[in-house]
This record gives sequence, structure tokens and C-alpha cells, in this order.
Amino acid sequence: MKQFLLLLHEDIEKMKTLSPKDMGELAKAHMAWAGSLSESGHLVAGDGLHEKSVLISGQNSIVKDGSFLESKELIGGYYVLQAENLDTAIEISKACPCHLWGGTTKIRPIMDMDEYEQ
Amino acid sequence: MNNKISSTVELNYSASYGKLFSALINKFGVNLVNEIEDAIQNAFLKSLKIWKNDHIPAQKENWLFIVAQNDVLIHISKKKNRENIELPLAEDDNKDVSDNDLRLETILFISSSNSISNQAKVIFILKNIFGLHVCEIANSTLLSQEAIYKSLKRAKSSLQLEFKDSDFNTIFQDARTTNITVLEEVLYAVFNVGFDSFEEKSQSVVNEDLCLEAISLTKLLLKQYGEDSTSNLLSLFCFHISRIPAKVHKGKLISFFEQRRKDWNKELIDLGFYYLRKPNELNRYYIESLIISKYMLTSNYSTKHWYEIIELYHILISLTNSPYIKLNLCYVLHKANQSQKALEILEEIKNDLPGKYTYFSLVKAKILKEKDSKEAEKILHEVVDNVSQQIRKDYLLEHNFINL
Repeated sequence: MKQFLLLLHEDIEKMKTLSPKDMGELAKAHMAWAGSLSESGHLVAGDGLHEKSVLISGQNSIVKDGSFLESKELIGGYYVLQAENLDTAIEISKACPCHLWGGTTKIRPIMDMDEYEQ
Repeated sequence: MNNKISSTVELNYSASYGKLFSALINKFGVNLVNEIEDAIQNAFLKSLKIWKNDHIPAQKENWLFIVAQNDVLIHISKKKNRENIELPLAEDDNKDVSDNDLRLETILFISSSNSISNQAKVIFILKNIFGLHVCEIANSTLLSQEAIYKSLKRAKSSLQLEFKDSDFNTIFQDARTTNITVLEEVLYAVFNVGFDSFEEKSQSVVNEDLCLEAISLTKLLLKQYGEDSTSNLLSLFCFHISRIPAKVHKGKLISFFEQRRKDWNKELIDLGFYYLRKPNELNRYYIESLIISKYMLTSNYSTKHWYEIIELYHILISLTNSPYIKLNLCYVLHKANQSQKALEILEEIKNDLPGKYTYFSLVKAKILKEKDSKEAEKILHEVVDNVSQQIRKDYLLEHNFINL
């Protein structure tokens, strides 16, 4: 099984205008999706992320505070999935509730030593 | 779906919004209404990200309350530092929001306002107590979103001005004794919005959640004050919701007279009679409840039946001068072969109802159908163009209201 990082890019402005009913449906959808992934053995981990972030750069490790809100989309959460291959991971990820309310997901295959040893 | 998931699903976010709003407004006052709205929205967003199947707080509403309260406190603390002024600080008694529901008191408080209209009160309450989004209110009330935004903004400013520096406990206490009538009107309006939903997204002709929340608050009001009028309002609600199972059959809207009576909920009809109380002093809900029960019990819509209904409508109009009641009377007059009288009343009330009011158009078209079929058809074309729900369009088209 290969592992994949699924990044959830959320439209934060849109998220802030969701109705309580939509919020409830989104919560329900995320729970149900994570539950089904867990049951099928595809879920490794998953968490929501704070809007706040810190950037550290260069040899001098310069720390910059900022949420980088110049982009209205930010990474609001992630899942680590496991699947046979990228195609399966794509099929699974299409059902991610993040898409229902204007979000975008990005799949990044996690590098694995085995791939390079064969 | 496992049990842990369904425990999250049980949380009705719309009702929780109202409970959180009421608890926070009670604690921090109306001056911070904007900050409270933002804090609740932020708390909901956090719950989306943090709650997991194996990690859900036992007291979900309390968790949301504490998160939202902390958000408001941070805002207050920042503002104090920035402006060097004294702002109210919350007492640190974190009562369980689920057990300490202040929605009724908050509606009483909003109802007590002398500075905003009844329509503005209903819109404000739909948004903040029943947790409806502006677009849901627009779809349900047929008002434009822009008009609703403006109404909410004005209502907030007016409430802030009217209740500036007021002691909330006193306001809540005073409101209790004087505003039950207004509160009943508000609950009735909210129920009607839910019972006749025009919401495009859900395509459902009834917003059952909204009806049930209105009923639960009315029950609470009855329990607290025991007024005959509240009991009769509850009776009216029961008669209405008993027909929900029959309103749609095989995906099609069914009018009252065509509904299959066996689909009506018998227990709720019995409950309607249970709450129907003959009052010492007549009230509108008693008469309205009598009218609807008469409609539901009769097996024969004879002229005699319509005359009896007209009698009740005349009593009702002596109690309330509502144009909506007069509109219903017009339909009944038409059924009792008094169409000319009905048309005269329609002319009198046309400017008292919202523009392009669907039921006004439908009643007028119905009455005009025999007299001036072209005019009737023109009105119905406009109705079909304005109605966004497909199920309602289909109803009008399938019942040959319009010749295509």
C-alpha cells in the first residue's frame, strides 16, 4: 500500500459565510467520510489546521509571523490516506466533503524507499 | 454509519446557533452583537476541524459556547487595551447551554423593542435565534437578500441604541410580563415561514426543523406562563403539522382539499384538540384553530359549511385586522358564491400585502377565472415565473391553471 497526503484548500471567505445548517451538514459529511475511510482501511491520519502559521527561512532561520492571508484559499486540513495506487487515491479523494463547499484538494504521493529499491 | 458519527449528526447547528446567541447576548449585551455573531461562526468552524469520530466533546453545545465566549472575551480584552475603556466582562459561570436555554427570553427581549418593526423583529429572530442564513430567509419570505441585510443592519443599530447600557436581567424580567402577545405573533410568523417554505435549494415545501423549533418554544412559553392564547396557538400548530405527511405525494404537491386524509397524523390532530381551550376572552388563535379543525373534520364542503367559516372569519377580523386573514376570507367568500364581495376586499388589501405576494395572485386568479379568464391567466403566468420551486411550478401547470 502506498501513502498519500491529501491537502484541503478551503475558501476561507466562503466558509465564514456558511449557514449553521450548511455547517452541520459539512460536519456530518466529514465525520461520515472519515468513518468510511477508517472502516475501509484507507485512513492513516487527518487533522484540521489553524489559520495561523509561521514561516522560517534561510540559513539564519528568519522567523516571520503571518497567516499568509493574501490568498483567500488556505490549507485548512489534511488527511493521510493509504491506497493501492494514485488512481485509487484519486477516486477516494473525489468524495472528500471539502469539495462540496467550494474547496479544492491536492494529492501528494508520499515518497517511499521501496519505490527506489526495486 | 457508526454510533459516534450519529451523535454528531444529532446536533442541530441551527438550533445551537440560537442557544449560543441567546446565552452570549445575555452575558455580553447587545452592544457586542456583531462580535457575538462572528464568535459563533468561528466556534462552528473550529468544531468542523477539531471534532473527530473518536474525539467529540460530551457536551457539544457547551464546548461551542466556551469557544465562542473566549473569542468574545479576547475581542473585549483587545478593545480595552486599544481604547483604554471599560467593557463588560463575562462572569466565569459557565452554565451548560443545553440546560439553560435562553432563546425564549431573548425573543421576549427582542419583541419588547419599540424601535424596530415587527417584520424586522421576525427577520432578526429568524437569523439569530433560529439560525437561518440570509439566503434561507430570503427564499422563505420572498424578500430580497439585500432587503434582509439592510433590515438586519438597521435592527442591530436600533437595538444597540435602544438598549445601550441597559441591565439585561431587568430587560428580560420586564419583557416577560408585557410581550407575550408579540412573542406569540413572532412564533406564529416563524412557524408559517417553515410551514410554507419556498426554499429553492432544498426544494422542500416544508421546513420541518423550523416548524418544530417554533413549536418547542411555544410549548416552553405555555409551560412558563400558561396563557390560553399560547395553548390555542399550539393547538393551531398541531392541526397544521398533522397534515405534513399528506402535503406531498409521489413527489407532487397536494392541495389541502385533495390530500388523502388517512395520511394526516391522527395523534397530532388529537393533540390539536387537547390544546384547544375556550378562552375567557376571545383570541385570534382560538378562532383560527376552530376554523382549521372545522375544515379538517367536515366531510362535506357544502354552502352551509362555507357560511359557518365566513362567520368565524368575521369574528377573527374583529380581533385582528390582518390583510392575510382578509385574503383567506376572500377565498371562502368565493367558495360561498360571493365572488364580487371577495374582489372588493382584494382591492382593499392589495397595497397592505407584499408586492407579488403569491397567495394574493392565486386567490385573485381563482376568483377571476370564470369572469375574466385572460386576466386570470396573465396573473398565473407571473406567479409561475416568480416561483422558484419546481414542485410548485409543476402543481400550477398540472392543475391546468395555465393553458400552455
